[in-house]
Amino acid sequence: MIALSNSNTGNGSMNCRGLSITGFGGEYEEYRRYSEDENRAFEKAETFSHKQALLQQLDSLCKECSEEGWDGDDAFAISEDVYDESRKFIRHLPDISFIPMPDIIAEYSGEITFEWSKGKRHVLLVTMCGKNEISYVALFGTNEVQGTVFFGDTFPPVIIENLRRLFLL
Amino acid sequence: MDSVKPEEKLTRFIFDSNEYRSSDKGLKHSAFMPNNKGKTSVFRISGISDEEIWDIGEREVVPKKGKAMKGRADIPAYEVLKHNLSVDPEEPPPRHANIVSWNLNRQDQRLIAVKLAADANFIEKQ
Repeated sequence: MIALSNSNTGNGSMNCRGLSITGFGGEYEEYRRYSEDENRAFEKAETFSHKQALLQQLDSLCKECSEEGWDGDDAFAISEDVYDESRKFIRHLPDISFIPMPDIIAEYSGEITFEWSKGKRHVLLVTMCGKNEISYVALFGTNEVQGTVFFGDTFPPVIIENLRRLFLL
Repeated sequence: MDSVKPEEKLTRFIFDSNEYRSSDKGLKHSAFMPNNKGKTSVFRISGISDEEIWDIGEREVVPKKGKAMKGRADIPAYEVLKHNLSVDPEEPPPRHANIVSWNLNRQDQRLIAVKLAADANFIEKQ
């Protein structure tokens, strides 16, 4: 037997997209498993659509910045290599709940930077230069971190560590 | 031309979402990054009215950028100077100056630009 409510009722209850479900027995177990699978699929689809939106944002930014002087001054164009690496970075973004989608910034140097921020002095910047290498700088209050890391076929663990530090600590 | 004093107020005109977050009106580091000649263009705004400041942006920067101004980032000169940067007057146009003496390393530049963005005050264009 199962019941839906919007209150938390303790044991034998679960949460499905903000709705509390209570119950017992095999029917409940079956529903719980089904709902958990459905939740996971939903979250995956949600992440997928966020990544699609980010890819579209990248496309329009790169179009806007495809010629030298796009800033009305002397900015370098975003190169094909930087664009490809940025797409790869978005595709490899881990599906971890605490990691929000970043902002995308075109740099005058022709690079692309992904920015995560949690207030003015808690910021992580990850920059694509199109050479299978990404550089990062982070400000965590008064502490600062910077480095460069190889970017091959997996998302660099050091970026996840910094994201964890930014959003979880 | 008078040299820039630490207590002077500077502003940088802001044009798009590449430089500020519309969600929380926060400035991004790119608002203060130097161009490829190592200069961040600013205007000296101490002693003039708000209206005069916006007029400078409309007259001197909008035609060059070819887009509408979204706002400006005001910052006291001492917040810039404390990072071993200099502010060099460069007229014309009147009141124009450049933040210079940036380290050549891009990562160092970004880190300082993040701090400048944190110390600056974003004022949205009405």
